[in-house]
Amino acid sequence: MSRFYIPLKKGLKKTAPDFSKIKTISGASCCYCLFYMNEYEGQLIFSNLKSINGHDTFRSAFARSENITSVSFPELEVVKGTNAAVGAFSGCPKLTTASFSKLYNVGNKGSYAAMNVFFSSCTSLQSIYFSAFTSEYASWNVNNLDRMLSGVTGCTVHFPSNLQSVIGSHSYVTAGFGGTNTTVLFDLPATT
Amino acid sequence: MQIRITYVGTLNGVSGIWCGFKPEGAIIKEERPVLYPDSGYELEHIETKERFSAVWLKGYDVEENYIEVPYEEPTQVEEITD
Repeated sequence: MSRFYIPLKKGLKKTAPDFSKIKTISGASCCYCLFYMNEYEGQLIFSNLKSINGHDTFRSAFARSENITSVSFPELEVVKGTNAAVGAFSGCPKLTTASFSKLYNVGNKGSYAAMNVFFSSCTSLQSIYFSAFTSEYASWNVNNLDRMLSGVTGCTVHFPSNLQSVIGSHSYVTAGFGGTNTTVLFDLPATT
Repeated sequence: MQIRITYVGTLNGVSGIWCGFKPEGAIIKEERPVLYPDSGYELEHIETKERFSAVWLKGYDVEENYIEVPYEEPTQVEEITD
């Protein structure tokens, strides 16, 4: 599917806006490509964002951001809605780490492709932390991570230690989320 | 398309899965052959027509059951210029 966008003017702003006031992103396509090809530098922290909810709502939101180096969602718990965050950070060449400290529900056992190709073509990506996946939701969550690492080489994805028996035989995990030489480690503190 | 091996085991006491390479020093418990399409393609089962980003070949499922078909990432957008 193709979608039109108007690129931001080059050289205008390199400091990211304050995202700390955002608690919820919802509504169909509300942030679709909103920060596509921006020039923000360094780390992005969505310090109070708790949910992303809606069809296409965060789709490609920060795709092709050339200078973002890390992204953190310390409070995000839920991403739901078909294609809700497809490719949200795809094509960010300097992105090295991403962490989801409280995210436990991706797709809400009903959505499709909520975080597919989320980090595709992030060629420097080294580590992703899904610290709060639980045994109840983990399989469905992984269903929504198809090709998450397409075009990425050598990334390590970290999960809680108790989830190997739950998702260790999932086809997307076995295929390294579409990446090359992906490592999946079950080395984080156990959840429920 | 090509088949790469995924290794399941432990390294330094940590359970892990290594896709396409075997880490030095790991204790490997299982090896899984995975069929991958070439870049820009996905796999289509010749009978069911179901499509996959990769396929873990198990049992009687073999490489010959699949063909490659073009794949367009859902994030591709078209630029409007001045």
